[in-house]
Formats: sequence, structure tokens, C-alpha cells
Amino acid sequence: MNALNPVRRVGDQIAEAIMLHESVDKKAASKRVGELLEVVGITSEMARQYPHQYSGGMRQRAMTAMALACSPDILIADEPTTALDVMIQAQILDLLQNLQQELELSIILVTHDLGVVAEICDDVLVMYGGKTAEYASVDVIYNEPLHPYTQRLLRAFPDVDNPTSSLASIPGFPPPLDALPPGCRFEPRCHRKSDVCAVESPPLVAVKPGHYVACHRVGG
Amino acid sequence: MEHNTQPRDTVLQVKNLRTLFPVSRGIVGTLLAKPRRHVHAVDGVSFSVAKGEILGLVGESGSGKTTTALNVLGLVEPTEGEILFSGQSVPALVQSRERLRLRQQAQIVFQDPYESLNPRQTVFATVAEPLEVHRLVKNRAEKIEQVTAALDAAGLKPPETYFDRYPQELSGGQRQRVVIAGALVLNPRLLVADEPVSMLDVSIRAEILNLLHQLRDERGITILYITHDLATAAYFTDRVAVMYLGRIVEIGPTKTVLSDPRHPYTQALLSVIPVPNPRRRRKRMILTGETPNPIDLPSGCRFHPRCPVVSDQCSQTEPQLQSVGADHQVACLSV
Repeated sequence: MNALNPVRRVGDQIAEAIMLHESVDKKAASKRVGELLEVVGITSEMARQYPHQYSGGMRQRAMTAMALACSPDILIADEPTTALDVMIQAQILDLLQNLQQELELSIILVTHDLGVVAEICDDVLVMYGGKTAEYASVDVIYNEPLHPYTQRLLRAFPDVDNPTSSLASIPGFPPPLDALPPGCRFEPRCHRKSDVCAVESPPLVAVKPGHYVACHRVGG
Repeated sequence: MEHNTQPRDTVLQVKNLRTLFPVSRGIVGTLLAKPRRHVHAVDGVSFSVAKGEILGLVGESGSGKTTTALNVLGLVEPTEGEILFSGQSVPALVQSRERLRLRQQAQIVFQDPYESLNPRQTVFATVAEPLEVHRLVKNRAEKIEQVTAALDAAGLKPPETYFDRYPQELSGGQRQRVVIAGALVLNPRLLVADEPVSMLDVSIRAEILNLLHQLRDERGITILYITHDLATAAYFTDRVAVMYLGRIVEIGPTKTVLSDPRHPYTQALLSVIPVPNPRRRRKRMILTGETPNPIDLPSGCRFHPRCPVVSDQCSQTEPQLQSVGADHQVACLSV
């Protein structure tokens, strides 16, 4: 939302990336900008406008266009929908999914929103305190989670199809990263901890092909 | 509304509320005497909330949900319509000497606890300030007692350890608890919670919602819960009102509205809520474009330009709320 420069035209900001990386003149770059904006669902005339004339959803689209400017193989989207309304969020997710299919783009989606992950991701890596807690396909993460953190995180997330079950929060707070617990980083908040958890950090092991868990209580 | 006719049980009643904000015409417009235009923030909203009830006001940005809440608190003056808090008119209370009593009984929890707390005030000073403003305590011992009780009720335990801390020493969840304690210390009857969890991490959202739920159960506090997130509203509210461009398009018991949404807008909103399970991915009913600006409203039904089931009459006739079931009302011509 605040990633665009407020005092420069949106089109010029996108053109900057193109001209920096490819030897094209301004005219060719602005033609390219028009095309990019159309790809993300903004009419090319809007290139001459400033960020404040864009709505939140459009700004996020413009940011996506900027990211696509040099035809990347991989797109890193860091909480791309967090500041947006639900309907605009759905539009942006739809856009990312279409781009992924049409441009054969790989996407790393960084988010705390488990709903968004379930909607569009193929694989999921759950992180805690700077380490991998669990890594598996999206289906396994949601239906056969093994790490206690993954399990509790899923129970803390509201499910509109099943609102009667009560929301369970995870007690405590994530550890401060300058004073990490000596053993497993989730140990202070874990409901299934044993003695070894406080002293030894669990290694990441494959419990099944493609399903990795770092927990003393699971597998190896 | 036909339910809640007993005034004894109704804490809040809003009747045909309209709030328009004038748009600046600019120098040229004024000289040319162009007609003054208005933002129709809230345009004909009626609902009532019973004691101890949690009503959710759900809508996207620009739907008028926050303006409705500010009207209820007497912070914005309505253009038309009535707002009755415990049977008394809120705009009249604001003008009268009773204003402080209204401020005491109707409190608000804002969205962003990183911004709504003064970074240079300790937790104690923040929570004690309302007591001083309302002159509710006689001496320091009483003040300490009440602040302790409020922090305790907000789940900050042991309360004394928080007295001298500053907001930057607290996590987001703890900050929101301080904000809630600052509201609770006045023993309000009505709490307006404006997106109280949208800035918080998922693992902490549940505990704040559970806290508010608990306050309702234990103290009978009435809560007006404002959100754009139907998923948390589903957990948290007894009844829900879905707003679009300043109007309520559907209102009813939360379970009924979510299991049997009748308005196409409610259906669309429900369909785009991310489901936390990839096996239940569903067809998203994505509305194109965005909510039109509330200055130049569409004719007829306000939703018709984006409606997937629009018919000819929708652009001409403005639908009114019609009963479609027990306590369940919808404003749509195709229902």
C-alpha cells in the first residue's frame, strides 16, 4: 500500500525498472508499461496518474505490474492482500493465480493468513522463530499436520463453514529473536513438550516423502 | 424492527439514520453556484441491539459501517433519523449536560492498538485517565483498585506488573487488552469494537475475540462489532447486518445469514472468504470493480451495477428490507 512513491506518476515508476535493466528508450518503456498495466487489470491511461488517485486494490495491482516489468521467473509476494478488503483480496488472489498459469510464474507467498494459503498454494513451509517447523504439500499441512505449532495455528483460524467450534489461541508469545530458547523454539508454548525439547533443537526430518517436520515428538 | 419492542431490553435503537457529508465545490463551483453534492455515508439504516447482544456490522470500505458507529457514539451528527441509547436520543445527549454520562456508558475499541495508545503514557496512566475525566474516584487508593480490576478483567495478569510499562514494551495483543481495559474501567453498557482484531496476528485474534465474548457473558455488555471479515463475525456475533453503500442489504441471526444468505452481495462476500482447507476450495464469486463512490449513487438498487443476478427493474426501483424468515430481512428485488 505504501510501497509506491507518492510524488511520481505510477507509469514512470514502473518504467524506471524497465529502463534500468533493459536498454530501451523511454517511448518503448512506456508502451511496455501500458501492456503491463493491462495485464494486471488497469487501463493503460491510468499510467499517467499518481498513487493517491489509485484505490488500495489498484495500487497492489500496480505493484504487481512493477514486479512483472522485467519478466521474472519468480515472484515474491509479501502479505499481498493483508491491508485489503475481502472482495479486493479475492480479486488480487485471482490475478496472482492467473499470472502464475499464463506466465508460468513461480510464486513465493509470504503470509500469516492460512485461508489465503489454502486457496492458492501448492506447498507450504511453516516457520517459527526463524526455523522451519513443517514443510509439506498444502493438503497434508491442512489435513494431516504433525507439528504442534501447525496444529494449533490451524485451530486459531476462523472457519466460516464451521463457526461453532471455538477459536483456540496459542498461549504465550513468539520468542524474542535475540533471546531464543536453547532447545526447540516452540517449546515454551508447546502443549506436547517433553524434557528433551528444552535442551535440544529438533532436526528437520522427512516423515514421509515430501513431508518434513522438526519435532522431537514426531518420527525420528 | 418488530423484534425487541420492549424498551427495557433494547440498549440501542437506530431508526432511519442518514448521514451526509457535504463535498467541497471548490472556488469555481461556488462561483457558478453548482448544486452542493454530498457523500452519502449512511443512507437510511435501521436496527436495534438488545442488552447483552453482539451485533455485527459487516461491509467493505465505504459501506458506512464506521460512520454508523460514530453516529451511535455521538461523535458524528446525523443528518436525519433517530438514535436512541437506553431510550434517550444520542444527538440530544451530546448537546446536554448528560454528555459525560453517554461517554461513560458507550465506549469504543479502535482498530489499531499501535496508534490508539499514547506512546508516552504508561499503562496505568492510560487506564486511569478516563476515571479522572469522569471524576469517578475520590483518592489514589480507589484509582489503583479500579485500574487493577480493569486490567485484570482485560486479561492482563498480574495487573500490577503492567502499571509502569509503556506501549512499546507490549505486544499487539497486550496493547489491545490495554485499550479494552481503558474502556472497561468506566463500566460501559455498550462497547463499539471497530475492527478490533484486524491488525493483530492470527494466533492472537482468537484470544481478543474470546475476551470480548467473555465480557458480554459476565457483564452483559452489549457489543457492536464492526468488521469487513465475515469469518470472525461468524464466530463472534449473535446477529449480523451486511451493509453496502450506506444501506443494510441483509440482517438476521448470524447462523441464518451465513447458512442461507439471500442477498447476492452477502453470497458474494461469503464465497470469497478464504477457507482454511484446500479440500474445500470453492468457486469464488468475485465481484468486478469496487464499491462505487458514495457521491454519485447508482439509481435503483445500489448494488445493481455489480450484481450477478441483475434484472431490468433493479436500475429503477430501490429495494426495501423485506422479511424472508424469522428475524431475517433482505433488501433485494429478486428475493
